[in-house]
Parts: sequence; C-alpha cells; structure tokens
Amino acid sequence: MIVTSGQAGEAARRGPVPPLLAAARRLLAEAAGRVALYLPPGGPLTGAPHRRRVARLLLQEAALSGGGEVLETAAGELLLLGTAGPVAARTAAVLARLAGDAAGPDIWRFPADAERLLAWAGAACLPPPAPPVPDLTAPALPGLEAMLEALPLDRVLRRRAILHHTPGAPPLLAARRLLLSRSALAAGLGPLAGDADLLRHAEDRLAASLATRLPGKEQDPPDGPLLLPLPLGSPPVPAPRPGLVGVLPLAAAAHPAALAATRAALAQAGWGLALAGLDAAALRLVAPAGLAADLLLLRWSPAMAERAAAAALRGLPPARLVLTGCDGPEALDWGRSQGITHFAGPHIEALLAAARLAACPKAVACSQPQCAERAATTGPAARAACRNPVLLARLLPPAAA
Amino acid sequence: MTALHAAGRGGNALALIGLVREAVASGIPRQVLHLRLARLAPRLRRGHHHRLVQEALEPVLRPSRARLFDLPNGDLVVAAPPDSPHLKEVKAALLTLLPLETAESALAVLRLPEEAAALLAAVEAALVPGPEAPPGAPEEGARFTAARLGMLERALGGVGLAAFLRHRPVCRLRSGDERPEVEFLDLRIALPELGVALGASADPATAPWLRRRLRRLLDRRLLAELARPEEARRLGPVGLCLSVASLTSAEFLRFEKVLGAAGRVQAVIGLLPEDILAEPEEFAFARDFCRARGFRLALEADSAPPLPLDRLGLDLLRLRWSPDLPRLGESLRATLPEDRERVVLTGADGAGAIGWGWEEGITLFEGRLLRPKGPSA
Repeated sequence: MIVTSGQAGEAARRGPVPPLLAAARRLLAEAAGRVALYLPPGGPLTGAPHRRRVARLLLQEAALSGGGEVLETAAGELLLLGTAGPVAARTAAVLARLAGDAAGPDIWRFPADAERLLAWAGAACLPPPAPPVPDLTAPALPGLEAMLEALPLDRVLRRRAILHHTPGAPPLLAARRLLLSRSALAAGLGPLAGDADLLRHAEDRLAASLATRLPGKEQDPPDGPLLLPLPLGSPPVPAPRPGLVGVLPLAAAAHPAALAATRAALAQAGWGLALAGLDAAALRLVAPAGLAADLLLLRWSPAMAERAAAAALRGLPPARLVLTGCDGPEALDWGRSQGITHFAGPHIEALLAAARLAACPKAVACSQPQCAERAATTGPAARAACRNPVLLARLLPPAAA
Repeated sequence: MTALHAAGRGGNALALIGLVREAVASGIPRQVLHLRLARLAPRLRRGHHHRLVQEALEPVLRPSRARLFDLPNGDLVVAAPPDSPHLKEVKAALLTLLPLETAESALAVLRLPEEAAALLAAVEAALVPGPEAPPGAPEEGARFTAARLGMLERALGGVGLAAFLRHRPVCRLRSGDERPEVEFLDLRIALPELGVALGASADPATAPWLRRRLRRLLDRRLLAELARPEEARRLGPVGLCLSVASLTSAEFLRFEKVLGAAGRVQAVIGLLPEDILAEPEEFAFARDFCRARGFRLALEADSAPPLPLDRLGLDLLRLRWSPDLPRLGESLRATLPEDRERVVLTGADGAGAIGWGWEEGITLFEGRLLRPKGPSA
C-alpha cells in the first residue's frame, strides 16, 4: 500500500485538512507498535533528485514487506510511516550506509512519537507535480562552442592565492592559482550548464586556450609558480612563462601509465603537474603517495577530520600538499595537525584582504570583501576601482612577510 | 575428420591449447604436424582441396592415437606420439595432393613440450584477427565537439540499439577443462561502430566529458530496452558496463526492479575508473546502493588497476588483456586481488592471453576464443 504523490494530490483537492495530516492521522490509528523512518530535507539522501529517487525506492520496498506508506513533501522530505520495526531497522541500516558521513534516517516509534508526527504532517506540504523528464538530446548543443568563443574570459576566470604557513614563521605567498568559476560559467551557459558533463566540457575547452590568454604581468607578477587548469586528454602546449603548473582533475589518475606519460610530456613542455579533487571521499579510494603529480590539491570538508583521510596522507612530504577550500580556521587547524603547510580558499582570501587593508595607505572606504573580490577577479574594470594596484597584484603585502 | 570429431578425439583451437598445456605440465612428448592450409595459394584453397586433404587424413588417423584440430583460419593440426608412423603417412598423403614446394612450405613439424611456445604462437596467428578499426573510422585529430555530439544524439533517436549490441560470454575455463562454462553474458554497445554508422566524423575520446554524456545517454537507452518485460524474461546472468550516474537513473531503477532479487545477484555491473575518480562521493553512494540490492560490481581496468579493489569496495576486477601485462610482473601482481576468482581477463582473444591468465591463477575469461562461432554477435 503505497501513496504516490499523484494519489495524495487527489486527496489534496478533496478537503480542507492538509493531506499529509489526514494521512498521518489515518495511519496513526493503526500504527501502535509500528515505526516511521524520517529522512530530513537537504540531507545526503534527499538533497539531490537522483539520491531521493534511490531513497524512495528503498522505502517503497520496505513498505511492500513491512507495511506502511511512503510520503514525500515539497521540501524534499521522505517518510515511511507505519512499517514493522525489524523491516525499518534493516532499511535504516542500508540508508545510513548510503548517507555516508552524515546521519541516517530518524526512527519515530508509535505511539510515543505521535505528537511529533502530527506536528510534522501539519506543517508539511505535498510536492508539486513532477517536472517533465528533461530531454537528453538537447537541440541547443551545437551552440555550446560558439557560446564559449563569445564568453569574455575575465567573467569566469578567478585568482586564488596559495599561502605557505608554518607555525612561528610569517606567512608567504607560495603560488597563485587561476581557476574557472563553475558558478560564473554556469551563469554564462544558461540551461546547458544543467548537464554536469557539458559544464565540465566547457571548462575543458576554456582551459585548453587559457595558457595563451593569461592576464598580464600587472595582475600576476611572474615571480612565483602559477597554477592553471588543464583539459583532460589534450597534449600540452609549450609553457608561455616559467613556473607554470597545470592542474588536472583526479579522473586523470584513472590510467596511471597515461598520467605518468602526461606528466613527462608536461615537464618537457615546461609545466609542472598538480592533481585536484582529492576530497575526503577520494582519499578513501586512492593511495595519494602513488599519484604521478608534483602537487596534490586536497579539498577541505569537515569529513577530512576522519581517520581515513589522515591515514591516507601519512608519510607524504608536506611540500606536495595544498589544502584548498579552507573556509575557516578549523580547516587550517586540521591541516596543521597533518603537517600541511600550504593553504588556499575563501578563508585565506579573507586573511590576505585583511592584511592588505591594514598595510594599504590608499584604502579609504574599502571593505575586506571588496578587496578580496578585486584581487580574485581578472577583469580590468573591477580591478580599476582599487587605487593601489601594485599591492593588489602582490596579494600579500610585503610588511607581513 | 567428421568421424574423428564424433569420436571426441578432435577439437578446436581451445582444445589444442589444452593439449599443449597438458604436454608442458606432464612432460609427455608429442609430435605435432601443422598444416598451414591458410597459406596455400587461393587456387589450392578451394572447398574441394580442403575436402581432399581431409579425405587423405581420415584413413591415416582413424586407427591411431593421433588427434586432429581445426583452427579458425582453416589450418589443421595433427598431434601424435613421437615417431608415430602416422605422421609420416599424413605427410606422404599431402605430398600426393599438392605440388612439392607448396606442400613443404605448408607443413611444419613441431615437438612438444620443447616447442610449446612456437605452437601456441602459431595457434594465436591462426585466430582470425578482428578488424582494428571499423571501416570509415573517423579521421585522427578531428576534435569531437558539442555540435557533433548534438548531431549524433539526434541521429541516435531514430536508430535501434540492437544492431550495435554485442553479446560476449564470460566463461570459467580452467587449465585442462574440456570446454568453457559460460558464467554470464556481457552486453556492450559497440561505440566506434555506432559512431561510424551515425556518421560521426570525430572520435568521442577526444572530448572525455562529451563522451561521458554520450555514454550516459546510451546507458539509459539500453536499460530502458532491457527493462521491457519480454527482454527481461530472456535475460540470464548479465554483465553491463554503466556510468556511475546511470546507477541512480530512473531507467536503472526500473531495470533493477524488473530483474528482481534473483536477477540482481546474477548481474555484474562494470564501472570505469575515470567515473569513480571524477565523483568519488557519488560513486560511494551508487556502490553502496547497488551492493545493498545484490548486484556484483566490477572495476574495468585496461591495465594494472589504478585503485585496489578492496579499497574501492568492489567485487570483481575486469582486467583488459594486452601483451604488456606479462611484462608488468610483480607490480601488476601486487594490484590484483589475492583471490584470483575475482579477476576476469577480458579481450583474451589469443592463446597467449589465456595461458598468461592461467599462470596468474585467473580462470574467468572473455575473448574471441570463447565466443560462439559465426558472425560476431
């Protein structure tokens, strides 16, 4: 006995009682000794449509064997209401495994949790009718390349600093990194960016021409390493300046021999190689010590604090590691606890902006976010608002060094 | 010859490889006559010549302990105890049929076990090689663009997949087995042929992310087809190669429902390492879902696997054969699962591949040798 959103939708048209509340009351009458599995919205099981689809299937199967109904809300919650305890426990275990680092579903027991159920059902709304399945053959595909040609690079190209920071020593600017902002690119591409593979293809196409379209010396003084995105599977072009390090996604490590050959070809053309995308989930799969790259760009998330990540990094020389995506002091704390000395991310950008503002004699009404945004952008117009372009281009004021 | 086959003493390339292995293992010497009929001038290779050769051989071999093997290219191999008078008779019979110089160049005598390698190489050469690339393959260097993908996707809308679906048996074959046992049937879409048929003028491999999108699209088409009740009923143990994103698609959920619990535990789903590494978190989700549903999951590796199977939490390694594998030696061995029952050697088209597999303890194979005869299906 499974209520689909369509059937519940008919119930909605029949009466003034919120349909979920009606269903909850009805089921509650028979639910003594039974339980509910509740999946909160926005979690690892409900946050994305494809994951919610899988979670719904598992709940529906549980309803088939243990009884009960599956309810779904506009907010993306899922509830299996009134099923047998043992079935719920089994299903909850599977769901908890799928949820990975996050918590699994809540188990509500009846009648003890009846109030909780009624409060939830009274506030919840039914989901709108499912949107039509998107057409996989997009007629707009042929326009993608032309859109990329027409896209001003500085609208999507951003600059990040990689800071070398060891306890007891002043921070140093270790390297600069130019990267393509995925959100800015998605905004530029419109509906086509809804397909993750098309978006990554667009990134690849832009990356392929990036080495010949770099911002000038006035933005990036050629006094240190510069990291640039590289396209997957294209031969390298000769490095237009010294200190270039190409950044490939971790997928490039899928074929170790090919990666080693790419690294050698890049070295021949004057490039170093970095691999990006080493997040907590990736560190559970790969042994980073064996990756054929000069630099490994780790991606911070609180899940990094697990033992698995630390174990995967043990023994790696800190000079090969950069912790990217640092969004607060806890990222730096964790990195330091692992012996990491190179950091990047919004927290670093904020620290650098604060240091620049403190050292800048020309800063009058500049805010820290403003200064951070001007340093990150590669568009001359936005940078022109800064009256101290030399300091802006240095990223880190000399006084702090 | 027909009589010999009926008596169970003849066989094909696979049986010959088995005989070579036996001879090597036991050290019992044998003498082998390789009749390289495929080398004869076309005018000597017509049907009636072949029949004449067979007729000449039959009376000679029937009372003997010799065995006859026919190879896919039309070559014949006779194996007998050393110094058997029968081989001399075979030779004499042949010389009466063929011009002297032709007959001599078409005959090779080999001794087992000493010349096992040479015989295996000859068997391998006799396996008709498949075309390297389909005719009209895209020119090299042409970049696969979104515009080209768009054309391909549109063309695909009006094409049935069935003609491009390849059925490849994955077989359990142990050294000494008479015949391979089919464990499951791999279903693959022949992407290069499909591209050519649809007029693709560039290789999707030149744009990895577009190729990924194309694979996703093909996955969904295939899954939708397989989920049709009449297809699903026919479907036995099956092996598919799917993108990670496809495992949470509506089409997959329908397919797995139609398969049922009994069908799911028999199915093997192969995943590409580039898909796994592109989105490790999505991979972990899809893996845990599929395993909870009973599927077996495999890593598709075209050489030494980049990731250890146990760390990935996968069941099988599908290792693609290449002549480079034996050279990798210990570095490859270290990456194979200790339980070699978990390894499938794919593309094991030749005797060398199967021989290497056996040396490494591998007994699951997919390859040309194991496919049913007839046009490649």
